Amino acid sequence: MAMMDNALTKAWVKLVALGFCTAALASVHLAQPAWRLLAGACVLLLAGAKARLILGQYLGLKSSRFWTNVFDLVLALFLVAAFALFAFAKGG
Amino acid sequence: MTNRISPQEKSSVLDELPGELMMWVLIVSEILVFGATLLAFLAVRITDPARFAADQAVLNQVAGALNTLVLVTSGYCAARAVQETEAGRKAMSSRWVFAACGLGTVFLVIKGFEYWAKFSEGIGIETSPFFTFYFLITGFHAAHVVAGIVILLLVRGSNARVMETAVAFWHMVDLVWVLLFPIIYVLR
Repeated sequence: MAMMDNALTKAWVKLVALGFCTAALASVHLAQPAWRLLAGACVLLLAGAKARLILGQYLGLKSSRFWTNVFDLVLALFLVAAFALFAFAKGG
Repeated sequence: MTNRISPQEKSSVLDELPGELMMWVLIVSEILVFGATLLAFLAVRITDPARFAADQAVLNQVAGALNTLVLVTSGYCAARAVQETEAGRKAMSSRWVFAACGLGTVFLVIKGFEYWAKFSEGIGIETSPFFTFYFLITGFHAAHVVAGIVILLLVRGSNARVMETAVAFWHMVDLVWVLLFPIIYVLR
């Protein structure tokens, strides 16, 4: 039980930390388009990391390697699509 | 987390999913709906990125970031509620459920203030494509938060399996928000 508490608490601390990272990125105003693209990619990566933590630790998917991989793939595809659309708006 | 059958009896990968299969069906369908809507938002953004950026600048990022902290913490409380139920400590589980619901209510209050601020400035669902998406997506999400609070309160004191299923819905609400917030509020 204590081990489960620790794992859950660690997940929460990581989520909060990732949230602060996102907030820090959001507060930075970048003039160069290339830097804005990079910042956008980082924001999406942070979102993906948070989503993985919730799926794995809160929802308990970490107990299944197969489903972790499936959701990782779906998440990755979604984030790549999101970044592609975001980048196209910048460059288009 | 409870699995439906023991490791020795698992006959398919579906059995590896923790909790109820039908809740996972619901979770996946909700994620697909929100995911498609968020991608549609980004696609429409391509038609007028300058206007989208100008509208996004009006959003209260601090409120959004605060709501992220609120929701992930409420998810933690809900997960602890399940643990306490599995350990047979129903009274403690109830307290964690109330904490999760309380934080969910805080989320709705903050969201309510955000909406009120927009309406006060004359901004509504028809102001622009950005705000059409903003109000529809965040409003739909807020409706799920309301449903999640009701569900949690209804299953308070139930057995571990029921608690786990209800809490899984709450984690889905959390999951959607951590993807929604960066795309609507932050990406620019």
